Amino acid sequence: MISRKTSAVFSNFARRCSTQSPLNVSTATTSSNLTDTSSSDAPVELERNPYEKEPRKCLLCRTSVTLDYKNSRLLQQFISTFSGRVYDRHITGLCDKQQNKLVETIAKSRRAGYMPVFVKDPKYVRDPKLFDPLKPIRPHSFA
Amino acid sequence: MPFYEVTVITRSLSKSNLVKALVRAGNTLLNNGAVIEKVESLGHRDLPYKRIAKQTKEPVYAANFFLFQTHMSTDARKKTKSILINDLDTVHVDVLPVETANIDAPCNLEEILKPPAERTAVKELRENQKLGHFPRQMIYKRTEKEWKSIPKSYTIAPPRP
Repeated sequence: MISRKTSAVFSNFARRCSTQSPLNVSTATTSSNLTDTSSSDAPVELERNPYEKEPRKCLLCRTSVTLDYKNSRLLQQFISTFSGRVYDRHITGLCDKQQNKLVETIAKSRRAGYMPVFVKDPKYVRDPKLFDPLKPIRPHSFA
Repeated sequence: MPFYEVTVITRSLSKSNLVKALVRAGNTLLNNGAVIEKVESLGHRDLPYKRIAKQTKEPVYAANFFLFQTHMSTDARKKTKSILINDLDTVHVDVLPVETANIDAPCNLEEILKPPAERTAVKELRENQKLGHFPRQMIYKRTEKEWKSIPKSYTIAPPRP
């Protein structure tokens, strides 16, 4: 009973909103729903949460950078200065697809002779840091 | 015919010798039935590590990088690679296939950032994973212990009416 009353209040409010601001997306959907139902007291159901945040994307997906085995400077930004190994996904913060591609491309680049195998090239040690290995996004890549 | 990129790293050569070596490399590709789409010079670069030139045994620290974009059969790839590797003027050669039209999987970083209890991968494991012998035994023993800890009768008999 309570919900019916509140929904009536909300629908009235929504109608007022739609009349006031027709450009608003969320209220536009409610107004279309209102026309469908015969009674104005019917509860308004939104199709999706209007306050939903956009899903976060990884660095390479966000910037739409494609990894190339010839671009060894970019690849070496994902390599540890200390051990010369590729950082794991909980440190690089890449999605599964990009991380797999990164490992593949680094292997290719090393095979083709563009990249050192055991170390990071000392020329690129002072390149800007893409992530902080001391602050991983997860405690471990399997965790 | 698959698309390959041929990386040729030469030893340090004079300009005329470099041209000769390049023409030779191109001709070996063409003679084995490859179609060269593009030849690119990636410049005179420092090598990532010291390499040794063949025959002269000279150390090579910086060299010319060249890229041939070619279409050739897999047999031609094997053959040309073995020829180019044994060329005295090359330090390193590699023939790599070029990936085309990779499938655009959506970025699943949001999924990764969730706590494990909410991740779909973990949920799948929980529901569909096969149990091994040992965990099955552990679960059986634990439930057995719990079951046995429930008293089945009163320890002290209730008084008679």
